This record gives sequence, structure tokens and C-alpha cells, in this order.
Amino acid sequence: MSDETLVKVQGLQKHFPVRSGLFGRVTAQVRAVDGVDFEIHRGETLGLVGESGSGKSTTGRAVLRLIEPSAGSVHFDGVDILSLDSGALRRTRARMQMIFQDPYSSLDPQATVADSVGEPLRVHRGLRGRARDDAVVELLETVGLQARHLRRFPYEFSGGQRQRICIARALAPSPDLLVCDEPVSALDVSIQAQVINLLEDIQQEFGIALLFISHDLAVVRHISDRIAVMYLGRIVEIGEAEQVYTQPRHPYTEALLSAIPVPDPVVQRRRDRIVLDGDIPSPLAPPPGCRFHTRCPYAMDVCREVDPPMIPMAGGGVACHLHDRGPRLHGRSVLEIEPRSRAAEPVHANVKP
Amino acid sequence: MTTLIVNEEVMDEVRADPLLSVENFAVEFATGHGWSRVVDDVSFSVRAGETMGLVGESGSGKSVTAMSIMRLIPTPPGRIAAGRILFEGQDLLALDEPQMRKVRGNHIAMIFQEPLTALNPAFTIGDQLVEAIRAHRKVTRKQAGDRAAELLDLVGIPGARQRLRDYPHRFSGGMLQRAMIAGALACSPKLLIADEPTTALDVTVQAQILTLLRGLQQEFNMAMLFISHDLGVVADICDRVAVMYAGQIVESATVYELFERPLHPYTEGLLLAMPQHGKPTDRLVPIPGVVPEAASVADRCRFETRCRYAADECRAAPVPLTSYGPRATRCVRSKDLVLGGTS
Ligand SMILES: Nc1ncnc2c1ncn2[C@@H]1O[C@H](COP(=O)(O)OP(=O)(O)OP(=O)(O)O)[C@@H](O)[C@H]1O
Ligand SMILES: Nc1ncnc2c1ncn2[C@@H]1O[C@H](COP(=O)(O)OP(=O)(O)O)[C@@H](O)[C@H]1O
Ligand code: SF4
Ligand code: SF4
Ligand SMILES: [Mg+2]
Ligand SMILES: [Mg+2]
Repeated sequence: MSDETLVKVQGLQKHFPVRSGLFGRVTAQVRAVDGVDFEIHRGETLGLVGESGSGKSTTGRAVLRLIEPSAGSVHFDGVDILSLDSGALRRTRARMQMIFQDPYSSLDPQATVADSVGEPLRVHRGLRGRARDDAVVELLETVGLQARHLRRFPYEFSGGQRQRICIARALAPSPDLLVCDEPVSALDVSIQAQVINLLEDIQQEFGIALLFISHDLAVVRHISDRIAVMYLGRIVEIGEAEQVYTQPRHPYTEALLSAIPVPDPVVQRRRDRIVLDGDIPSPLAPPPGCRFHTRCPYAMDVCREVDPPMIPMAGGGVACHLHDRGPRLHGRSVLEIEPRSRAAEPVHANVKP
Repeated sequence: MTTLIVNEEVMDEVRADPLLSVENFAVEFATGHGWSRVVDDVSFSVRAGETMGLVGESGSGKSVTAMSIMRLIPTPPGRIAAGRILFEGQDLLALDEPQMRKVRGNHIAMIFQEPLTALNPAFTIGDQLVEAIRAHRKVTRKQAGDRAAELLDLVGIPGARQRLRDYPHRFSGGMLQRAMIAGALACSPKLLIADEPTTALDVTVQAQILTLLRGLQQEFNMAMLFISHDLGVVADICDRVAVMYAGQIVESATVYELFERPLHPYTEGLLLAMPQHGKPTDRLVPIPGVVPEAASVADRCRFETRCRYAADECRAAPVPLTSYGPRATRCVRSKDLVLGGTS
């Protein structure tokens, strides 16, 4: 990993129009991604976590320009990819690959492994016939499969093996960036560990940067160097993985951590838990002020009116009034204060010295 | 060799009559090449008021076991090949469909992973709850409507009476699961079977539903058969746990014993594979390989192809489930292996 920036995303927005009525008029906008900034360094793994509908997949797809952002910019290796014409975009895309959650639907059921993995080798490296098959075998061995799998079809493989095939296919054009959208969420825990180890090995060997999207903070913490936490189309906290996981600065991160059950009954049953009220609100009409205020155990009056800006901090930043107008945590962990729902006293009185 | 300490207090409970007792149970499905046994020699029990966990990876036979208790297995292609399922001493497999319908809903209720698929999109939540209530209780529509509102309120849906008029698509996943739980509670069942009730939900909503289930269970002294693939959830909510692998139970124990000192290498493997295990910089410890075809391991320990402790004796014959006091395991080496847990 280096400090050299590979991907720089600024002010990214993606709004999907909602049409209704006889004439299909646009009646509303789903603000799936609503102003997101982050960087990914060469060879780094940035984890992107958040609950369903928070905008993780949309962010991942916009970074590769698989969908057109509504606003903002994406620079890849210094080039503004939103300004590229289709030819230039195709050449750049070879260096940015994607793997998906569902290894079943992302492979062509009619195509053999040799064809699936071989196609990008033909397109991007001009390999054919024997040379192509040799290169495919090399990739299969990299992901823990063998030459004897070359002529087999997707249905002949288990979920974990299919995800290995998808990874081999993504590696074929020698990318600099791999966007992984929930790559292990459909896999059983024992197989999940195999695939995560494989992704880590590949990253070590080829120095590829990963944007690792997942709803599972425990998995993300394991694989990531830094973690960005999304809520309703925004990044609410970004920082070093260890800091985010053990010293969260944002109340939503704290709640997310508290909700993951620990696989140890003794610890799990003694933990102090925060159970959030209600569901994630609709991205059609995000709450005014801080988007988390409807569920936040620390919400203050200002939170209902003023949208908290991202405040830069060591290793990342946080968007929460606790760090500017509130009890002035100034970047310290939110674990230092008692949530209002648990504490009888006003939030301010509970800041530990 | 290590000795397994038998806690007499726990043994007394074991000897008490269980509410549900599944004995040497087997289910087969017709395939192109004959019958395939997907649940084999499964035995476990659930006592009044307790939560029994059934944990295992996808395809291990958890749902087929649960559906069999409710007698909801499609026959054909399925058939019950062996065993008994005793509920309060009565063999459910001997009941005819009208008798079984009385058991379902009156004594045993079930909730599923995908609540939306269990509801009819064309009817309101209220209509469906009223129907569930009136199927088992002789009450007027009005009374059933009041009861439905009460139940929705009980499961924590704000503005319950108004929400009765909503169609399922207006409910979020978490609210649908609450509505399903309300429906299941309609007849105060003695046993609730919950098949991965939080798997499709976000973790913050999962935490809400687990809290709700725990509270309701205490309030109504209801037993639960809680099915999950997530060991964290199991650690949170279960009293005892049975671990399934390739159609069989390979280990059962109290939740504390299981996590502190598993007796079966597969259980140990599942615990070690979790990303929370060890330091975050440690490499993960997967279980190598994949679940084999049942037929290819029929003559030996089914876990032998993936077990790090496999020895010649493991390949000699199929391994029976052996009890050690309140615990049981399906491993020939259980007496000489000392396995590690997370507790
Ligand atoms: N093509 C589309 N048209 C309209 N709305 C969309 C479209 N794609 C996504 N959305 C909406 O945008 C929001 C963000 O979706 P996205 O798929 O990015 O979420 P996510 O964080 O990846 O969620 P999950 O964890 O469920 O995968 C959601 O409300 C979703 O319904
Ligand atoms: N209706 C069916 N027909 C044929 N096979 C089935 C049917 N239902 C389940 N099975 C098979 O039974 C096995 C156990 O399935 P299941 O109980 O659903 O697993 P789990 O719930 O543990 O993920 C699997 O191999 C599955 O494919
Ligand atoms: S800004 Fe206010 S409502 Fe938002 S997370 Fe911070 S304390 Fe909670
Ligand atoms: S019987 Fe042998 S192969 Fe099977 S779980 Fe025990 S040690 Fe492993
Ligand atoms: Mg997604
Ligand atoms: Mg199932």
C-alpha cells in the first residue's frame, strides 16, 4: 500500500427519478447517493459498510461509471473518468473490475470457465486459442482452481467456487482496482473465510486496490485498511479500520457495532446494547438536518435543523454535531458519552473528562 | 484422555419430559437417480419455555427438519423415511391433515426468513391477522380485529390500529417480520419455530427483532426452535444448540458449553472461521473444501473429507451420535481431542 491516490471521488451524487401516473412524469427523486467524498490509495482496501439501501452498490457502480452519476467527479489515476468518451472509457475500465454478491447470476450459464475467464483476455490482451487457455489456467490456479475445471459450466460448481471463477475473470485484465460488492455475503461462513483469504492474497501479490462493499462490519474490519460508513446516501464516518471498529466517532457506527452479535454467549449477554428505534427512513425524503436524527440516541435540537458537515480528523472524518456544536468530542470516540436514551441527565453532563 | 463432567442439575432437566422430541428422524427427496436422504438420523428435543438453536450451513437440512415438524414437506417429491416427532407425547407423524391443522397455529406456529412470501399481497395485514385468529378461535370479526390490533401493538408496531389497513408492500422488512410474529402469537402457541427470522434483515433491525422475541418468550413462557446459520445470533438467543452438517446433527450442548468447548471438529471449525475470531490482522481460518455429496461419504464420518483431525478410524464406518450426559457428539475421536471455542 502506498499513499499515492488511485481513486478520488468528490461530491458524488446519484439520484434516480421516480416516475408515476399515466404520462410517467417524474414525481420524486431517490437520493441513493447524495454527496459522497473519499479516496482510495494504490494497493489499499477501503471498506464501505452500511445497511440495505444506504447507497453502497450505487456508489460502487458510479465509481466504475457503470451508471452515470448525477453530480460530482471521479478521478481514476488522475483522469476524470466522467469526461472520457466510450473508447477511452473502455480502455480505462480494463483497469477497474467488479465482482458481485451473487456468483450464480454473474456468470453466463452457457459459457465454460475457459470462455468466461478467457473473454477479457481476448478483449484486453488479444489472447486466443492455446495461449488464452494457458493464461486462463494460470488465473484458475491463482484462485485455487485447477486446469481440469477449464471445460466445465457454472452449474457444476459450488457458490464459493463460482465466486473464485468471478475473481479469476476480474483479474484477467490485470486491474489496479477491484470493486467487490458483497462478495462473500451469499457464502457460508467457512467458505466466506476461504474467499476473504484469497482476496487478501491477491491483493498482496498484485498490489490491487479494493473497494470492499459489505453490510457486515466484522468482515469489513478484517479485510480493510480504512472503513467508510454510509447512511442514507452519505458517508457519516471514515477512518482507519481499527479506529472505526474500536473507537467509533459517529453514533450510527456505534449502533451498528452494538448490533452485531458477538459469537460468545458470555460476552454477548453481558454487553451494553443500543437498540435503535425504527427503520432506516426512505431515501425519497431523507430527514432534514442530520439524516440520522430520527434514530439517534444522542440527537440534540440542532440535529433536526442543521445538516452536519464532514469534519476532517486524524485518519478520516466524521459528520456529526457531537464533534462541533454538541458536547465537543473533537474527534474522540462517541463511546465516551452515554446515549441520551440511557442517560437521565442531558448529554452534555455525561462527557467524561 | 479428558473426562467429560456431567452436571447433575442439567441432567435432571434432560430427564424431564420435553415438549417436542424428534427421534431418529429422516427425510428423503426423489431425485433423477433414486431417493436422496437430506435429513438423516436427527434427534433432539425442546423443553417448555426454552430456546433450542438449530445451526448449520445452507443445505444442511435445517429448514427441512423444521418444515417436517409442521408437516409442511411437499410429498411427493419428499417422504418421511424414518423416525418419530413427539409433541407433548403425541406422534405428529400419525395425525391426519385435519388433526394436524389444529396443532399448527393452536400449539405450534412458525415464522420464516422471507416474511413477504408468507403473506398475500392482495389482502391487508389486518385481514390476514383476522383470518389467522378466526381460523382457531370462535370470535366475531370485530373481536378478531381488536385482537389483531392488540397483537400488532404487542410486537411494537406504532399506530397499530391504523396499520391494520395497510397492504404488505407498505411494510418494511422489519415490520413484516413483526407482523408475522403477531400472527404466530395469535393463538398463544407453546412452541414457535423461527426459521432464520432475521437473516434477511439489517443488523440494527435484527437486534430489535431478537429483543422482541426474547421479551415475548419470557412473557408467554413459549418454547422456541430457533434456526440460524449465524453463530453470533445463536450465542445471543439460544439456551441449547444442535449443530447440523450434511443432514445430520453432529453435536448438541448448552450454548455456554458449545462455545466454550465444542466437542465436534465441525463446530470448532465454524467458530474459528468467524472474522471476529483472533486478532484482526490474523489470517482467517477456513474449513477447507466443500460439503461433499452425501453418497460419497456414506461409509464414514461425513465430515472426514474436511476434518483436520481425520484418522483411519474415521473412515471405518458411519459415526453414530453418542451422548455424554447432557451433551452429544458424532465424532469417534471426541474423547482424545481437546477442541477450542470462543468463550
Ligand atoms: N436503478 C434504480 N432506480 C431507482 N432507485 C434505485 C436504483 N438503484 C438503486 N436505487 C435506490 O437507491 C438506494 C440505494 O441503493 P443501493 O443499491 O446503492 O443500496 P445498497 O447500500 O447497496 O443496499 P444493499 O445493502 O441492499 O445492497 C435504494 O433506496 C435503492 O432502492
Ligand atoms: N422440495 C425439495 N425437493 C428436493 N430437495 C429439497 C427440497 N427441499 C429441500 N431440499 C434439499 O434438502 C437439503 C436440505 O435443505 P434445507 O433444509 O432447506 O437446508 P437449510 O435450511 O439447512 O439451508 C438440501 O440439499 C436441499 O436442496
Ligand atoms: S448530528 Fe446529532 S443526530 Fe446526527 S448523529 Fe450526531 S448527534 Fe446524532
Ligand atoms: S470422526 Fe474423525 S473425521 Fe469425523 S469429525 Fe471426528 S475426528 Fe473428524
Ligand atoms: Mg447493494
Ligand atoms: Mg433454510
